[in-house]
Amino acid sequence: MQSQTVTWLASQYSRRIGTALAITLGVTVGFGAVFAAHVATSPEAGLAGLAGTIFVVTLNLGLLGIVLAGNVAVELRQLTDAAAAIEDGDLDATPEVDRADEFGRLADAFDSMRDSLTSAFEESETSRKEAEQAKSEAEAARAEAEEFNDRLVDQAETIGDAMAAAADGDFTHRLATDSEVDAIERIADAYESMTVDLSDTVGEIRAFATTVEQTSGAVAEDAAEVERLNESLAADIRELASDVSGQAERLQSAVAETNDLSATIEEVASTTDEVAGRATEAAEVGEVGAERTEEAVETIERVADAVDELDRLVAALDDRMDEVAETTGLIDEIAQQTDMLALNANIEASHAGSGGDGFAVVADEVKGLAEQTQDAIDEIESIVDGARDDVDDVTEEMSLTRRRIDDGVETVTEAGETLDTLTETVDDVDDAMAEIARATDDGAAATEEVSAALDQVAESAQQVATRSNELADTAEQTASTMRGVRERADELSDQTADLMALLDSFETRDTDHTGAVQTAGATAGDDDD
Amino acid sequence: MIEATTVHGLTAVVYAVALVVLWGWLRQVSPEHRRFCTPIVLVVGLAGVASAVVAAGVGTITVNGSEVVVPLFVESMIAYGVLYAVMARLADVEGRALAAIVLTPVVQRIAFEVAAISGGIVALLGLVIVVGGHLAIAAYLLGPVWTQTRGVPEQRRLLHWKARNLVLFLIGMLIAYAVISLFGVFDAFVSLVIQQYMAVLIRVGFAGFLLANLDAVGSTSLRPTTASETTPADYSSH
Repeated sequence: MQSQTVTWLASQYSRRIGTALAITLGVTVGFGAVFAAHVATSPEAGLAGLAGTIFVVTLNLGLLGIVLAGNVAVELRQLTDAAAAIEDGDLDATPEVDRADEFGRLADAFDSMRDSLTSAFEESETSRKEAEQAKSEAEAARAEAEEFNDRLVDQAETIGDAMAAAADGDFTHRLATDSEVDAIERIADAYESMTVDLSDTVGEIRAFATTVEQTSGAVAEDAAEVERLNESLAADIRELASDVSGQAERLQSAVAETNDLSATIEEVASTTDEVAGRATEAAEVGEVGAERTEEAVETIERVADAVDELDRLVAALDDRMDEVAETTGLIDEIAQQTDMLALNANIEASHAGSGGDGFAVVADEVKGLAEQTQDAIDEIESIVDGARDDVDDVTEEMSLTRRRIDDGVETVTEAGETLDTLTETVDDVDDAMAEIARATDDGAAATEEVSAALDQVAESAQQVATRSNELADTAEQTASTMRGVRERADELSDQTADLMALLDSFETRDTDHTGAVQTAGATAGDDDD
Repeated sequence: MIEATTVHGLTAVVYAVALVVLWGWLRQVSPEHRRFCTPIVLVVGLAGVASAVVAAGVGTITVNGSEVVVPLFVESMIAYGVLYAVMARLADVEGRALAAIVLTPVVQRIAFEVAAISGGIVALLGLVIVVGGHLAIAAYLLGPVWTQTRGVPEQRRLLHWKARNLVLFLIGMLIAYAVISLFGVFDAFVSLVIQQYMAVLIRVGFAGFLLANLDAVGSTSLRPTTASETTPADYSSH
C-alpha cells in the first residue's frame, strides 16, 4: 500500500507538489489551531498567537519553495547541462534523471533524442564513407571511359565526316561496319541504311515536288476563281443588305405611324369611357328624376285626396250652414213671437194700471231682447250667407284645383314617363359607349400588336441587314483569304521550283527502290558532275 | 494552556516516531550510505532523549535570572555541528574548512545562550555573533565552497546545493525566530512551540531529505580522506 502510494506520488510531479502543499497547509492550520486555542485560554496572548502563526506560515512557505524550487532547478540543470554537452559534441552526455514523473519522461525523451541524433550521425558517417568509395570507383571508371572515349572520338570523326558530307547532300560516302564498338557499328549500319533511304527519299521528294508544283498552279487558279466569285457575292449581299435596311427603315416609319394610331385609338377609348361615365351619371340622374316624379305624383294624389276630403268637409259645412239657416229661421220666428208677446204684455200692462208698470218694463226688455235677437239673427244670416258664398267659392276653387291637380298629375306622370324614356335612352347610350370602349380597346390592342409585329419585323430586317453585311464581310474575307491562298499557291509553286533545284544538288546512290545499292554517282539534275 | 513539559513530551514522542521510521529506512540502504546517514539519524534520537529529559523536568538551570535548558543546549550544539558537517562533506569539504563550518554553529549557539542570559553589550555582542556567523558561513558556502564543488560528481554537487539552501534557510529562520523572541513578540508557549517545531524540522526534515536523496550521495563519507591543511582561502584561489 505504501509502495503504491509512493509510486502514485512519484509518477506525477504535480501530485508531489499538491501533496507537499496539502501537508504544509495541514501543518500550518494545525499550528494556527494550537495558537488559537492558546489565545482562547490566554486572551493577552493574542499578538503572540498571531505572530506565531505568521512565523509558521512564512517558515512553511519558504521551506516549501526551497524544496520544490530545488527539485525543479536540479532536474533542469541536469537537462541543460546534458543539452550543452551534446551541443559541444558529446553525444554520450545524458541527464541521468531517474524519476518516474514529468522530469523523468522529459529525460527519457531527451535520451531518445540523443540516441536518434547519435544514430543519425553514424548513418551520416557511413554515408560519407560510401560516397568516398563511390567517388574513387567513379574516378577509375572515368579514366577507363576517357580511354574508350578517345577511340570513340576517332571513329566518331570518321562518322562525322561522312555525316557532314551527307549533310551537304553527298550520300556517296561509305563507312566500315566492323567496328569493335557495337554502337559505332550500329551507327555505321544506320548511316549506310540512312544514305540509301535518303537517296530514295530525295528521288521521291523530287517526284512529289513536281506533283506539288502542278497542284499549286491548279490551286492558284481555283483560288482566283473563288476570289472573284466571293467578291461578286459580297457586292450582291451588300446591295441586298442596303435594300433590307431601307425596308427596315420604312417598317420603322410604319411602326411610328401605327403607334400614333394606337395612341389616337386609346384617346378615343378614353373619351368614350368618359362619355359612358357621363351617360351613366345621366341615367342615374334620370332614375333619380323618375323617382322624384313618382314621389311628386304620389304627393299630388295625396293633395287630391286632401282636396276631396276638403270638398266633403265643405259639403258638410254647407249642410251645417243650411241647418244654421233653418235654426236662424226658427230663432227669427221665436224672436218675432217674443216681440209679439212683449207687445201683448205692454198692452196688458197698460190695462193693469200702475200695478202693471213693472210688468211693462219687463215687456219692454223682452221686446228689446227680441229685437236684438232679430238683429243678431239677421247678422247671422248675413254671415251664413257670406259663408255660404265663400263655401261656394271654395267649392268652385276646389273644383278648379282638382282639375289643376289632375292636370298636374298628368303632367308629372308624363314627365316621369319622359324621364323613364330618357333613362332608358341614356342606358342604351351607356351600353353603346361601353361597346365602343371595348371595341376601341380591342382596336388599340390589335394596333399595338400590329405595331409590335412591325417593330419585330423591322428589327428582324435590321438583323438581316446586319447579318448580310457580316456575310458580305465574310465573303470579302473569304475572297481575301482565297487571294492569300492563291498567293501561297504561287509561292508554293515557286518554292517547289526552288526545291527541285535544291534536290538537283544532291549526290545520291542509284537504287532500284528496293533498298539495294547499285552504284554511286551523279543523278539526274546533278549539274556539278 | 499547555504546559512546557507537555510540549517537550509531545516533541519527544514525535522524535521517537521519526526515529523509528528513519531507523527502518536506514536499514534498507547500503552499508556505505548507512554509515553516512547514521549520525544524522542519531541526532534525531539524541534530540528525542533531550526532549524527554526536559519533559521530565531535568536539566533546567537558572543563570543570571534566566533559565538555561542544558539538555537542549548541548543537543543543539551537537545537532548543528553534525548537520553542517554532513552538508559540507557532500561538497568534499575537508580539513580546517570543515572544522570552521562545524564550529561556527557551535559558537553561534553558545553566543545566543550567552545573549539570552546576559544583557547590555554582552547580549548585543552575542546577537552580532549569531547573525554575523550565519552571514559569514552563508557567504563561505555560496562562494568558495560552491566553486570548489566543480570537481564533485554532478549529482552530489546538486544534492549539496539543495542541502545547503535548506540548512541555510532553516538556520536563518531559527535566528530570525531567536531575534524576534528577544524582542518579546512571542509569549512563552508560542515561543516554545515554534522552537520545538523548527527543531523537529531541522533534524527530522534534514534526515528525511538525506535518505530520500541517497542515490546522489555516491561513495562519499563523513570521514575526510586526508588530513590536509586546506583552508577556505585555498578554495577561494580555485
